[in-house]
Amino acid sequence: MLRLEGISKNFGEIRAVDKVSLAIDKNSVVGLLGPNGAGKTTLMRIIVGFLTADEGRIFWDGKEVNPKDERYKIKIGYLPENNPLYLNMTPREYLELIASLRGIAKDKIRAEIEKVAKECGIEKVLGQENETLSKGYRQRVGLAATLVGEPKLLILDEPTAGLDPNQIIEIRELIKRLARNKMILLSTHILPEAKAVCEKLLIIHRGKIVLDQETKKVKNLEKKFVELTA
Amino acid sequence: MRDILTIAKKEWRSYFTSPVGYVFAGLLMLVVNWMYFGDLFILGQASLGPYWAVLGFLFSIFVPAISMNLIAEEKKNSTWELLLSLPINEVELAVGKFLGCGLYLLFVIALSIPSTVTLYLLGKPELGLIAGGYLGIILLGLAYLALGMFMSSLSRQAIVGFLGSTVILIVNNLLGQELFLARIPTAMREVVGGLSLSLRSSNFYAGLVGINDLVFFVSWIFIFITLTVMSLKMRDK
Repeated sequence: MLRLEGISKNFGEIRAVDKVSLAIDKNSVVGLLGPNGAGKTTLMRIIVGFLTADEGRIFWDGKEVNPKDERYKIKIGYLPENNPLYLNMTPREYLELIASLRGIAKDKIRAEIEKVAKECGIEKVLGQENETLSKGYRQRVGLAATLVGEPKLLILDEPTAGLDPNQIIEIRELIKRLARNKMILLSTHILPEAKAVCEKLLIIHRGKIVLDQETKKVKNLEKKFVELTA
Repeated sequence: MRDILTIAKKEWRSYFTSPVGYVFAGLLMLVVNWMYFGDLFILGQASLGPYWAVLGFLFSIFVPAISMNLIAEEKKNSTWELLLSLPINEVELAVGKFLGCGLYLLFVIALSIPSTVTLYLLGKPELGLIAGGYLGIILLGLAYLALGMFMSSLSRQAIVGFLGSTVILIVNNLLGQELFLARIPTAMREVVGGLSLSLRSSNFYAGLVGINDLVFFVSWIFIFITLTVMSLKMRDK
């Protein structure tokens, strides 16, 4: 289980994240909702160790961790906003790079790639350049990269942004399948998506968590979202 | 160490996945050989000094061009966010990138081997001079690369890194020119000239491999790799 306690982050005078505390339980999908600029991406970047919090602590299974620690980073798969891929690489080369940087033994990389490719349905495009893939396939490649090395927690920053309705449904189904044995923190500002995929919802506004509730207990999410973030 | 080699391999490979890497290297060698061999038979001297001097000067444009994307492109495409969320740190990233681009630079320098062999057959220059020349040009290229990588880390726009490092390297070249040194007070000449990478590398071309020059080059490279690491860490501010 991942737990954040009083996490804050300032950029100069701007308080991007303000004393955020939250918990993600095993085998659950937590939705992080909020308007643009609310602090979702900054919070996710702190969790994955890309940014350092000015205040607060992070716990993994009850023990405090340093998010820059490689033993902690290996437990997390991260899909940044806009899914940055090396476009001149094929999905196979890209996944090989990720696998190597995640410390997977050379003789096991091939099997690992085949496993995650199958899971995300990209076996047929493994040898095609990323640049030539459709947006939906690129997203699948990005998701496959997060699964390399069997991380226990997936952090997905707007994983369905820019996809067409069919692709959105495909990616949602994929995320639901992945959630069977992983913790997932998913950021989005598409409210129906959050309701469809997440078991718990967090709404962040001006860096603060203003709602932390189980999805089934949230009545009229759209209205509540507007009230809390207006 | 494995992470450094993985990044280096990725970087090295990127120069050969498009024709750009080959075209850049081919053009550079074409210009150097044209400039050098054009005068060789007029001068009638089998010396490699002018060859390295021309290559060294062209490096002040070529190296910024091959290093301008090293960090800027990662920042622009947000791939650095992905890389630094993996079990890899800023030092491994910077050293891996330096190593990968450095290997490409060595490949480019290796393209001069046919020219040096031709010269050797024509005039039999001392092998020590050839070895010193290669050492000098390699150190000069790597020093330029370390600066280029740092400048590339300062902005998401690769062109900013290119222009910044080209200007600095041209000014640095100028510091070692007689034309410039003759215009500053005598007491300052040694200090100012000592800052010039091209002037220091010219000692190697002449077969004078001094420990001071070696330390200067190694320190320069170390300082700019460290500055790159610091620049990568500045993302928190």
